[in-house]
Amino acid sequence: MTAATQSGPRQGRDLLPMAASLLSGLLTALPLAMLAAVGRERGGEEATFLHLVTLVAGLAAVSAVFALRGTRPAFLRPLNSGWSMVALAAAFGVVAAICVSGIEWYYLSTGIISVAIFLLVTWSLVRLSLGLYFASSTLGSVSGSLVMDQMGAFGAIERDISLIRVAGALLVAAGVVVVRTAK
Amino acid sequence: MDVGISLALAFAFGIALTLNAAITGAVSRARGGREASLLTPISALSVIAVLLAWIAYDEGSTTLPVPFEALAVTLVLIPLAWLLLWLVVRGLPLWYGCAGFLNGLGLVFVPRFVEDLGLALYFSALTLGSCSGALLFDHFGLLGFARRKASFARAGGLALAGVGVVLVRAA
Repeated sequence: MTAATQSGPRQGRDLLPMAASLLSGLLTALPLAMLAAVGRERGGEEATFLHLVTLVAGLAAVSAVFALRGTRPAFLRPLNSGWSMVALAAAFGVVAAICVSGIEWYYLSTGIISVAIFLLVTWSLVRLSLGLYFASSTLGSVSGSLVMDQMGAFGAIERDISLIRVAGALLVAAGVVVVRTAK
Repeated sequence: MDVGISLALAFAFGIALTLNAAITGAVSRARGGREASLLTPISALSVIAVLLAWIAYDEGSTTLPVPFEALAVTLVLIPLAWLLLWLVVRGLPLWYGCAGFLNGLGLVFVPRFVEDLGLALYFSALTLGSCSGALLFDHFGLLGFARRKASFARAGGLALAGVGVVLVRAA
């Protein structure tokens, strides 16, 4: 079999994890833009509190699902059972629901999106080479942030996408790949 | 805040991400990925609880809704957050609990960074910082990282990312 025919399926297998990694990067800008928006209304500490509370609720919910399907959390007692994770998710969920009152409800998604990013990263990282992973995720995050800037997402100052900014973002992504993969 | 100060801080918090990645990696090897992922936000929350109590003490209340605006409630949050952090790191070196301290502080500054720099420049500076941190940690073999000398190629990659940040800023 030639190298070209061998590389075909390999490239095909990489496409989905690369898309997942790119998506995780693209999504990265979203919770931070939301956090900034909440921060403008309430202050950085309060916005960070809401973000972290929803994030812990989401991560505990994921752990609870895994635990209830048979993979117990590897913490020491009392956090080593599925029900402890259910309790943690519920407690933090209630706190998050209280904290979001007075602002738009969708700000609850800051932590939830971060949970989705975590799941996408853990899924794609084991299926891609390090170079491809860093290339796609960094490209995703810088592209996502350029688009968010252009839109002035969630009331932020608008900053136009220019060729120079795109070139700069691409150089950052290229630099990351070289730093992380070069010998 | 001055743009230069924001850039420097974003870069510094990027370096801190390397420390976080090192500790998260160690916890992940010892316990698993999901367990490690819970450590950082709970650790960050411990610091934020203290900051919220400080704000409530200093300004009379936080801007969070009832009951979290009150000093008494924020004071209750501190031991709860630290107890949870202790439960999460129990059985591991206790200093792993500091994994998210700097990340928490970094998130507090995000509204300011986004205002001063925009998301693209903030991400670029943060990324440059984390690359620099990775290079430093590898070169000196800090915190159990396998020692890996900084080569010209890797330093060149860092320079490339640095030029990228300058271009995003210049535009």
